[in-house]
Amino acid sequence: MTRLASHASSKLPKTDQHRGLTVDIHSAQDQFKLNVSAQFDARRITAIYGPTGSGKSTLLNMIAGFSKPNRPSQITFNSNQWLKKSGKAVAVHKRKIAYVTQSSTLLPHLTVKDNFLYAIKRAHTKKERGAKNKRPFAPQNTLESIGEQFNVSQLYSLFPEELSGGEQQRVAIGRALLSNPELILFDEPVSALDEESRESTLTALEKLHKLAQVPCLYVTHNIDELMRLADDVIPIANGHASQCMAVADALSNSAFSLSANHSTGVILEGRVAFIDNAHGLISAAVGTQPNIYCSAGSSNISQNQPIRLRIYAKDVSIALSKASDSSILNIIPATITKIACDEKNKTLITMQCFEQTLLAAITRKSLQDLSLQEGQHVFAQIKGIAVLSAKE
Amino acid sequence: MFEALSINDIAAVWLTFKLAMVSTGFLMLLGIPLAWWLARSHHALKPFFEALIALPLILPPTVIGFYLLVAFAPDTWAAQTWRSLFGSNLAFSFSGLVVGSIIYSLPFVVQPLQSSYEKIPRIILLSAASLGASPVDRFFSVVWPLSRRATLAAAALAFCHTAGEFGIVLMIGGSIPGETQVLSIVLFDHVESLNYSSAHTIAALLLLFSFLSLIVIYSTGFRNYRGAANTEHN
Repeated sequence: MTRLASHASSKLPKTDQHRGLTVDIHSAQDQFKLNVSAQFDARRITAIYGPTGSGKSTLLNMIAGFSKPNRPSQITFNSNQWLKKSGKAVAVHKRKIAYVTQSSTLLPHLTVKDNFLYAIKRAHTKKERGAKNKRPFAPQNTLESIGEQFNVSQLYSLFPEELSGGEQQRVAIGRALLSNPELILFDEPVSALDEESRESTLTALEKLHKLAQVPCLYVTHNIDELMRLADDVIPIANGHASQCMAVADALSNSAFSLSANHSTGVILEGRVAFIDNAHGLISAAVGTQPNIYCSAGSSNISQNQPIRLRIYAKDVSIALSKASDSSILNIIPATITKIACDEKNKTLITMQCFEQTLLAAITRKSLQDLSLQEGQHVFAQIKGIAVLSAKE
Repeated sequence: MFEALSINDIAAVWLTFKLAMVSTGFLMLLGIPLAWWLARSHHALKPFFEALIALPLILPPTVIGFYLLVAFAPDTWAAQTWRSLFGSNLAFSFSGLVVGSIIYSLPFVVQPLQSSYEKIPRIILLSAASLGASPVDRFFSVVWPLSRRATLAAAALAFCHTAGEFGIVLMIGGSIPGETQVLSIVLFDHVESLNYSSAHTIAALLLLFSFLSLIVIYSTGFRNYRGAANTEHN
């Protein structure tokens, strides 16, 4: 997989004028107003994150060209003006996008294989087919390799409605890649799935992240998916969004995290420092901290490999002194930088340690009992760390 | 009881077949885009067009026939335009019958197609577009295969309905052998001249044909023309 990905990156177009998506969208329907001005990086997975009814799917549909804003708006992708202020728009089929949503978008009259072939046949526009220098087709995206990567080659002769929800989504993701898109749009692709299918689909999405050198927009209201998949995030609320930021930065921002549900936390990027097979642990180097212990799990992990760690705020507690008789492996000196409370008595402590940000969710009682203050030196006790994925 | 078909009767069989074939051809050419437009459109005038197309379902054929006869009169704008284009008259001619049949059978083509097109989820078409399929490509690669049964049923209904029409033909075609004398007219003529044995033959022929056609239509899995199913793999 690693070999394929590096092979693909060498095929990337060298020209690097303005790569990315810039949107300036204004629309109003009944009481709902959508105002979004944002820039998306061209090579990353950007989550559009917000609660139900915040306008995130509407925004995605407008980027896809499925619907049009009713106020003067602009959408520009890689120097192509998809939508001009005048209302002139590039048709959906000319935008070189792929779209995956929670309901099946597979063509019901075609088998899995024919669905793949449908995408391959249309992977290049008419103009491109005639041109000498075709848009490079990522070499790993062949029918065979996609079938294998997404574990669907045994389903080739089946029709979409004979597939489970998870299988349908994996086929849809594979088909999206085969259409050779320049941008992939996901609209809550796993929200309609049961736990098991959800897991296999998320794994497929992580694979896509590594395989495809294609930017993705990922609409979700689920902070776990955000932490697992996204590099950047655009928080959207009440139809308003303006800022695109790195997920790690967003998560360590207590205002953002308080607005999320209970499973808020941070993600840390690090490397495998050493593997302790005897105890089933790995030690990760993150920032200036040489060893953070986490459970190795079942995934194949090798020395020095980059990894992404997720630490929920609820799994971090605070002590004033370093306990030597604790079962907790990770007790790290930290400095409180911010204390934020919401109306439900949830208190979120932001701390700096090893040049990273940690969040701790504690009760207001603990805050008062320990009389915690901003700038105070404390010890962060981390009870649980999940190894999310190995990043390239 | 039955008498063998006369030469005149055989000419009527051929004429009826020809009228049904030609009309069905035009009906499909006109009905498919019309049904597609009605299925996708939110135009304010859509209910008006839907009602207009459905009129022949409830209007006595003689009413349609009467107005067509008036419109086909040689001094009307429609008749003169037609003559300048094709050099022939519409009233009491085969072309006139085709025009009448198209109007008369249009709902039988448009309604099953429209309801079949409406059942195709929008998201399927949008995702086909996102994969790079142009509108025409989308029609032939998605809409056409998903509505194959409805298309077949629409064509069969158009054919049978046209083959069996009587009131309009009587009004605008009269009974000119080889030109406008279709089977239902021949039957009427036989009955009027008390030639019951010939009437029996032709009535039985039409009955058998209609019954067999309906069996064919229903065996394609098609239920009723308002609930046209496109259950390809259900």
